[in-house]
Amino acid sequence: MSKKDYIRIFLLLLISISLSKSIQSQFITNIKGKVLDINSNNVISDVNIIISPDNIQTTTNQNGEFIFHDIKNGSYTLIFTHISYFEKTEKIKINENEILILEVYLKRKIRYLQEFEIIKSTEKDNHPIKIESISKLELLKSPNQDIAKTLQSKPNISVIRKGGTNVDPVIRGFKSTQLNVTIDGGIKIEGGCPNRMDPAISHIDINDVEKIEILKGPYALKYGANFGGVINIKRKKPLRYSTFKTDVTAIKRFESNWNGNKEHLSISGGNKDFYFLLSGNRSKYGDYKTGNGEKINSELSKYNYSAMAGFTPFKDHNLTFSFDRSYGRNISFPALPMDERTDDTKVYSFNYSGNFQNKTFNKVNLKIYHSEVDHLMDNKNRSFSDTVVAISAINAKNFGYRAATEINIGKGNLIFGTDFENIKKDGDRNKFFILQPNLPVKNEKLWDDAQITNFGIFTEYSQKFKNTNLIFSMRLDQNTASSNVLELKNMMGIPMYYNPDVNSEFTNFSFSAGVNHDLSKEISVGFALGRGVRSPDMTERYIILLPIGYDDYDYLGNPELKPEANNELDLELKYKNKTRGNIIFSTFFSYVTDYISAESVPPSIIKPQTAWVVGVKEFINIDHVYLYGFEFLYSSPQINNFGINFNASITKGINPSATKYIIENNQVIDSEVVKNDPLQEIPPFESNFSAYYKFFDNRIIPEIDIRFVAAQNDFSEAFEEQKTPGFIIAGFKCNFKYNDNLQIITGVNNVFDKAYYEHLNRKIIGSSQALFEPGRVVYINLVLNI
Amino acid sequence: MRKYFLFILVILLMSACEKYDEEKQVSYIISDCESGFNVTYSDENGTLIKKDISTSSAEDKWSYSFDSKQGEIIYVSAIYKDISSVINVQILVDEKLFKQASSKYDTLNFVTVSGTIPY
Repeated sequence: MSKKDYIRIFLLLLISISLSKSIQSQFITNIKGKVLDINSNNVISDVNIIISPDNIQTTTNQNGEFIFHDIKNGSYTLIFTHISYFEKTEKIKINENEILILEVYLKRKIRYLQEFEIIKSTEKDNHPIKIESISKLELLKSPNQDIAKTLQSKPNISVIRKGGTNVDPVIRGFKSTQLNVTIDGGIKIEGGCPNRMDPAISHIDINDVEKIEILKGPYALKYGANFGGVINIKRKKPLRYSTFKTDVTAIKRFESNWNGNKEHLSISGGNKDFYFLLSGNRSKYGDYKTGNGEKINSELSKYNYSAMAGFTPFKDHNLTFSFDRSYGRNISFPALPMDERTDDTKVYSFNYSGNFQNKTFNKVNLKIYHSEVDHLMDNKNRSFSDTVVAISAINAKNFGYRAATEINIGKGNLIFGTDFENIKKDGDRNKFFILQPNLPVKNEKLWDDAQITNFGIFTEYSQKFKNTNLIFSMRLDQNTASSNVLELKNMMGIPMYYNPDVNSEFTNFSFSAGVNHDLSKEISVGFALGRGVRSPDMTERYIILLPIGYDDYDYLGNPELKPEANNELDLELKYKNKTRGNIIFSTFFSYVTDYISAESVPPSIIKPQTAWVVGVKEFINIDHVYLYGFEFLYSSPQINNFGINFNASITKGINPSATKYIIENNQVIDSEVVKNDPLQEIPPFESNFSAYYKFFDNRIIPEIDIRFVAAQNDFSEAFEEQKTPGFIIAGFKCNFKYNDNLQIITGVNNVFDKAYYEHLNRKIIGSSQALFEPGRVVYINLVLNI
Repeated sequence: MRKYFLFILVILLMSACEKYDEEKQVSYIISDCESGFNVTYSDENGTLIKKDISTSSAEDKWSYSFDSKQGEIIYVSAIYKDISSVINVQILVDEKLFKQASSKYDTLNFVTVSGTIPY
């Protein structure tokens, strides 16, 4: 990062803080109150209360009480929301030196608990584990049809782009199966493509999502084996009413530039005994233009439908079944050797949740799922299909369960349970030599009935003291893998490569501990330490020669790989002040042992099967690498309807001893050791600034966004990366809430039509040119609720 | 109000309807060959068919047409036996020339025209 970059960041920060300071004023009183049920007169806990225009938020305690400190005199609006009650708005006026005590009554809306997962402890404030979340409103306001792209607004979260859609998330430099992507806290999908054109996150439609939780680091161990972080996608659930009622939601999204159209329709409803949700989505996008007017093949067509239904056999016990079918058609990936021709995905799940409301025995949750992906891809839109047409068909299945119990031990909360995951993958590539007589066809296996089974047991204990939160968690995984022999034959049927040693078994132990302590009313400090162990995935173990990396090599799986372990330390400082705003600074250091990387294999052992690659690389473990970085967030108080947010982050990754290969005439001729080579696919320094203003009781909220990304000069020589220039882009959006039925979000992304690309964007296949991001996009999202 | 929103809903649903997997008409045409040739081609099912075709003059044309989905492999390959002959092999997609190749006085090499039906 250059000096200029630091000056830009400093100026942005200075502007942020000075703007917030300039709008401070004096505060003199408190607002206290109690929230009660209008029928039973019982107190209501966990009611969310927002005071407007300051937009300060609090919740009621176990006694239904709440308090807002240091509020200046004036007129305010208090908004009370609770999942089981109708929203209530109270307008109040505070005179000087007056302490206001309110009694607020809410009317019950939903009498019956919805399906839940035992994940409660992650949602607590001041949690020692670093948690980011994306709300339903943020998803609605997002200009993108891609879930993973919306995560990019959070610090130290980036994406790898290979086409117009299905971007692959990267958190603090960890990617792919180093991240645990889970749906509703337990459902897993194994993508079909070895080049991750369909990562798990891409199989869920953004309009079907209620919330996304991102838990950074190897700390959250109750969702499955976790190495670098968890992305938990919470799908929409049907709302339930005391008497049968239905809700209808329709969403229409349009993006200019690539003529993107997306529609959503869902109908949900229920009563005390029964509930359901039917949902459907359809997306069709064309080719986008970059800022310099270049057209990128990015067309896509997707549609899906899903059904969720459940009933309550006994009070507070729910059984829910769900089914989701999604289809992808003709999705272009100009940075990959193939495009997605068809993708048919099925996800079935069953969920039982029981709330015992017992002093000790609290909740039970069981989730069973099966997902299956049929993925067909080909090179028909590549120039090399003039001589060889390659078609790959992959079938990936994932079956599993998660069972968890939550009990109270004294003032602590203990979650324990077990999970299981069985992944099966099989697929091949047929090469049609279309310029040769008699149309010869060569069949190559990519995975040959490969299978990975993981059985885990986990526990998590959390306890809240007066000023301190503690959390400990552990998990033990038994991981076994098998496949048919890894074998490659030439056109005559003669073996060119043969590896019969394909079985492996590991027992992995992971643990984490975290503490958060309030040093004062305004300052808290958090500390977390953990070790997350990940067994090698399907690709790393069993892939048979495909160009799946950033560099130009065919990759070969290695069944003898060992698990890699992330030993991580996190430190977080939080400062919360109602007049100055909130500041969060977090830093981390990861020491990864047995890091899974790749090394070149001589042609005498195996020759590549792809025309344009320079050789074959086999996955190997290297002794250790390390990663470190920080995240900084500032959010101003909302004063006079105006607020700002700022964040900045960076990750560095270092391989102390990497091997760089010397290539001449498209062949590896030598190698040399590079000391302290940066790890590949690590994003550069990035910062985001946004400012908003709320008009007409929050009904119109315009917002500007500025994103600054520094040049990436720390690039991996061993993996043939290149320097990436920095950029600044600006966006504008406006949220208009007409009434409870109609909401319109409109905006412009990349207002100045800047031509730029991210460091993690892959190169356009057959060239050294990176895939550019879309130029200016005008978008409109129309949301109807009936 | 409710009726108004329902109307918008219907409009939204209608805008989402579209036709997938458009079919194209494919024609293989072999011409200019005076004395017959051997042809190998893939049919609408992707099956490779081999035929021995006789012609009585260069004006005789052999053709084969079928409907197929976008992206399917289309392939036609021919060789003739008479060293004084010529051959012209064409593939038409929706009656427009997609690819063609020809040879003259060459009985050793196949004339192959192939590709995938464009999207």
